[in-house]
Amino acid sequence: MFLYKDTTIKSAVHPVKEFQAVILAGRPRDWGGLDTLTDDTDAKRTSKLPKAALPVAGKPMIHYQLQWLEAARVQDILVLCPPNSRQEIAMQVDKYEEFSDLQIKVQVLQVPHGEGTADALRSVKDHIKLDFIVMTCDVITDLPPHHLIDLHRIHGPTVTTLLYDFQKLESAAERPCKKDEYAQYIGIEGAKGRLVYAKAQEDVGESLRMRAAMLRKFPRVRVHTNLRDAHVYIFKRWVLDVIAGNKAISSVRKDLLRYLVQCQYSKKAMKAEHIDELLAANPDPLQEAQLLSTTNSAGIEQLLQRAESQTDDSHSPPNAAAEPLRKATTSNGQQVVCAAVICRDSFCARANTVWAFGEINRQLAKNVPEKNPGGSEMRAKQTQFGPDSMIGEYSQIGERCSVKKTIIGKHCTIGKNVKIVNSVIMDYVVIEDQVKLDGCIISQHAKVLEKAQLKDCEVGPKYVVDKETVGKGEQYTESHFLDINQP
Amino acid sequence: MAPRSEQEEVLQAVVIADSFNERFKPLTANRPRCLLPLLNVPLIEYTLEFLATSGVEEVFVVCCAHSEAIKDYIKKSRWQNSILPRVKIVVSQELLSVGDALREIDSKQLLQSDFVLVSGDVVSNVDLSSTIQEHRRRRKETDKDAIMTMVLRQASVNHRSRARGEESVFMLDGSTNECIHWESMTPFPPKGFASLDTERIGNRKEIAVFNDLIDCQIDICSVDVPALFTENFDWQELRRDFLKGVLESELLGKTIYCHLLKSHYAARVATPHMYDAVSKDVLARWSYPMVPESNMLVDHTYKYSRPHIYKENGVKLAITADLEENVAIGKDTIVGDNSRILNSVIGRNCRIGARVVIQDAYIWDGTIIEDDCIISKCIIDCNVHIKAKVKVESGSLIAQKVVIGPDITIARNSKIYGDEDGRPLQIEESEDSDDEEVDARNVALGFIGEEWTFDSDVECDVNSESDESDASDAGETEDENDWKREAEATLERAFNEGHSIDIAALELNTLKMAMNISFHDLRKISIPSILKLIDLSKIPQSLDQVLKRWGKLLLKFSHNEEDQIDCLRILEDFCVIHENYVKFVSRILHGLYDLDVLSEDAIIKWHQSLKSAPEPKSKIREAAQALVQWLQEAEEEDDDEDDEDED
Repeated sequence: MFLYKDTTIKSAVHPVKEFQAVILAGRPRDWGGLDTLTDDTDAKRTSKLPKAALPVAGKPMIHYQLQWLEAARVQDILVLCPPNSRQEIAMQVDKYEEFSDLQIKVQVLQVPHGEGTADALRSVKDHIKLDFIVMTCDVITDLPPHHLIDLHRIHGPTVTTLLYDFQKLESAAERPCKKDEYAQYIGIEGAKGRLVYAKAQEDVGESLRMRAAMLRKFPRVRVHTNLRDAHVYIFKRWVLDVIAGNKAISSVRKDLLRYLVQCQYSKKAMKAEHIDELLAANPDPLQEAQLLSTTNSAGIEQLLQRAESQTDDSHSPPNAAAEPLRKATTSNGQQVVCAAVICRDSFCARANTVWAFGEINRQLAKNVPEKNPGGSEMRAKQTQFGPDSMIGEYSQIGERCSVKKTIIGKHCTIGKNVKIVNSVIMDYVVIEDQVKLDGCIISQHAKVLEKAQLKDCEVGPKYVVDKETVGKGEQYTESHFLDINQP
Repeated sequence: MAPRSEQEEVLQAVVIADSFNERFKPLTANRPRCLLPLLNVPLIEYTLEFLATSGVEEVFVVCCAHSEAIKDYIKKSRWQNSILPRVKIVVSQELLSVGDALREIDSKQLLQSDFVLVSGDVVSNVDLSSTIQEHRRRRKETDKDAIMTMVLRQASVNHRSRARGEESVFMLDGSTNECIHWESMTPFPPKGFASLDTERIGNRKEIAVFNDLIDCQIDICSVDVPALFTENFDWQELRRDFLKGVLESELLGKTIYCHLLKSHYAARVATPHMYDAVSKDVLARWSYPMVPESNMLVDHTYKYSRPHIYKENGVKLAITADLEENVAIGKDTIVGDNSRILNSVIGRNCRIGARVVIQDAYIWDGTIIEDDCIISKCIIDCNVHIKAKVKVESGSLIAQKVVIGPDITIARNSKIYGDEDGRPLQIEESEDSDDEEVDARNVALGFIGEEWTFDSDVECDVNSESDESDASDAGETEDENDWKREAEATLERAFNEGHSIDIAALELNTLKMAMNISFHDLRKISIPSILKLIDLSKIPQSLDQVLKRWGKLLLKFSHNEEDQIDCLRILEDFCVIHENYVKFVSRILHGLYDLDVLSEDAIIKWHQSLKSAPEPKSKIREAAQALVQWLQEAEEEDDDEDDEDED
């Protein structure tokens, strides 16, 4: 804690750059979670918001990551997004910068749409000079950043990952999650908390197979079924060279992390990606210092060995020299380490499904102190407005309404006798009289006409739900490709 | 019904005093394993002591082989009249496995409630009473189907008291320690994965996977366990059959839990290797209070001095004799001038001559070792006479009353027993192991001299695992490399150590079964390996020699003409790569033809198929031309003769 404060003061005087951060605001190809509500390709035409701009408890999602990174004192942030959503995202970033009192430099960069997360990193390789933090734009956490960063500072692992307890979100939820397509098996080594196994439950199928080599290196592993990858990573800079060197690495979570996890117990895996050479080229300063320590006699030998192999280099042909060099590489004892931090006491979740999006909204709204920041004072008589609800600026609510556990955005108009429970209502929504909503997500500019009764529905942007519609578990959207349930 | 108070439940234990295998042969030729002396105290003493300290009130010792010896021993020991525990002997002559023993127990209806099941070779200082309480509480309160609690000790992968060749992975529920999966991870045949059926994960939040536990088979069982063995009459072993069977069966609906020991000592003397490890642990006092100077036998008089030296009264050491460390010496033993003893145990009434070096060896009562011997890492039974200047290399077991020497060397891993006059005879390792389910190589890891450890860097395929199908592919390629390596290593061993063809073929066949490979694969490995043995500079002697020695091996893998043609193709491919063999093709073929490995039809057919082959195969064809011509002529002649006969 002290250390943390200390760095704040220092950085205020002369900013020492320690990390860079990358927020991935695009959407990988196979990403289907919030299709009804967002669109990153052609936001204009479908009038949907890019995911990063979706409001969560009154704020666009990307503000949460920016806030977290600001708390982590990261000053250099890159936001990567597909070309078509750049404008919208840049706007949200600007909005954030207005309120921020610290000097942070945010660059919004375009990357081609439809690429994997690692592909996106590869394309901005030249912008990244330091160890870097990678986040997606859907992770929302109030975990103090130093929990993660200090681990990286002290132990210098190749990658530090953040995991969160999905069941915590689920148990606090009003409705259970039907099916969790992001379910994972996470194996964490007992003693040192290293991540040694991470696989989607879908991919695992019928039998969970653990490599014998892994079990030999890490004989005690705890496999968790309730943990999820929060997609917050701190990488060493040289990991970018791995990404750059292999075009086959397309996704950070699916490819890169898997490689690194394997490298912890397989020499062959290390060789395949030349990670051993990269490790040798990027020695850990502490380890170097320890080699020179007078109390470490083995260190001297290693240094001598290394020096020998280097002098050999200049005289003998390259092939012959490669062998001692490799020996020196392994003897300096560096290895790939994937560290895992489990977020237990703080809130952490990814809004990667509609269900999670709704739940995160509700659960965050509970903790927002100012339920009515804009001072919308259009409470008519006999309207009940629950304490766990929020309402944005310039919204209106008619008479005899009941609003519980619901987040209402800005500029909304809500008629009389409306009952809303467990829902998320974004900006500029019109809800007419006697509508009942339960567990719904209504996107911006949508209209729900008189006497409609919706339960567990998603309504896309600008969509008009006809009057007296009765729907349960439906998706209403004007998407050009999703043609489901159009009246 | 009034609840029974705990006092009324007599705590019972079952000791299986038969090992049902022959790993200690020839030491166990005339006494059971549980009476082998460990630091000069029979093993069963440790087991009974351990049960007594755990508060067991009644012990059933189940014996089969050498039951008389056990009976006699107990009768003479302090256990005969002990009240806590009462020791009873159950004899049955028809037991072949632990399963049989439990069925026997079940049929005799000896057990009343939960009991402790151990084998007669356990050394432990654990107090089980709290674990037993826990087991009973669990059955009463949380899970009435919990029929067994396994007591496991946490160690590390290559811990010396972890039995080699018996490694296994335990997967437990993270919060309750319920065992949900068990898998044997024996090093041979190499296994790429431990796989857990995801159905068994169910709603569990956390699964703890352990690959470093010492399983010394101390189990707390409910009375259902013997009954289940009776129901499933084909179950033999506790882990491989019973544990697996219960875990995998949904019908039984029984559960098994684990208790993990973080401190305390527990180990099982299952192999000579473990005998060595446990002896060292006891010498180093890990098993305290079960150490020599606690003198478990009435007439023992051990005293302890540093560094880990234990001596009985009446030990006579020459003034220049050097006991370095970790040494126990029994009563009236004499050690001569300038002898060095290190990490060893020597029994009573032994006579060690001058300038003898004894290291990591276990020498039992009454043995005589004359001057200038070097004894390393072995077990020498009672009353052995080792004459001067004998060198015993590591890994040997020497049975009682053998007279060895003078001036010879006993090779590594020898097992020596004596004929009636004490002349030494070697036991040949019988290849067909008594237990089919155990890979002979795993058994070999239990040899006392074996220094093998798991390599933590066993390679695995990287470009895999993105999804399930990929992962299985990877498994296969891994297997492929594995079996190739294995097969080549097997052959190399056969060549170097001069195995007979039958043994080499048997080994390769075992490999074939284990790795699920075909005869074609075996041919593909063995033909090039054999050909490479030929010293090309010493043709034709070397060629003839090699073919004469190993050619018949191919006969074991090729059974018909198609196989033979396959052999020829492999030969052909080999020669394409190794061009210097091309000019000897004819000679090789001739040699193999003479050995009946190849028939003339096969050679001719193969030769014809090469007719339009391009370079370099045409060269091979040319090289074989002369032979084929000769064969054809011979055949014609045969035909002619036949014709003549018919006429």
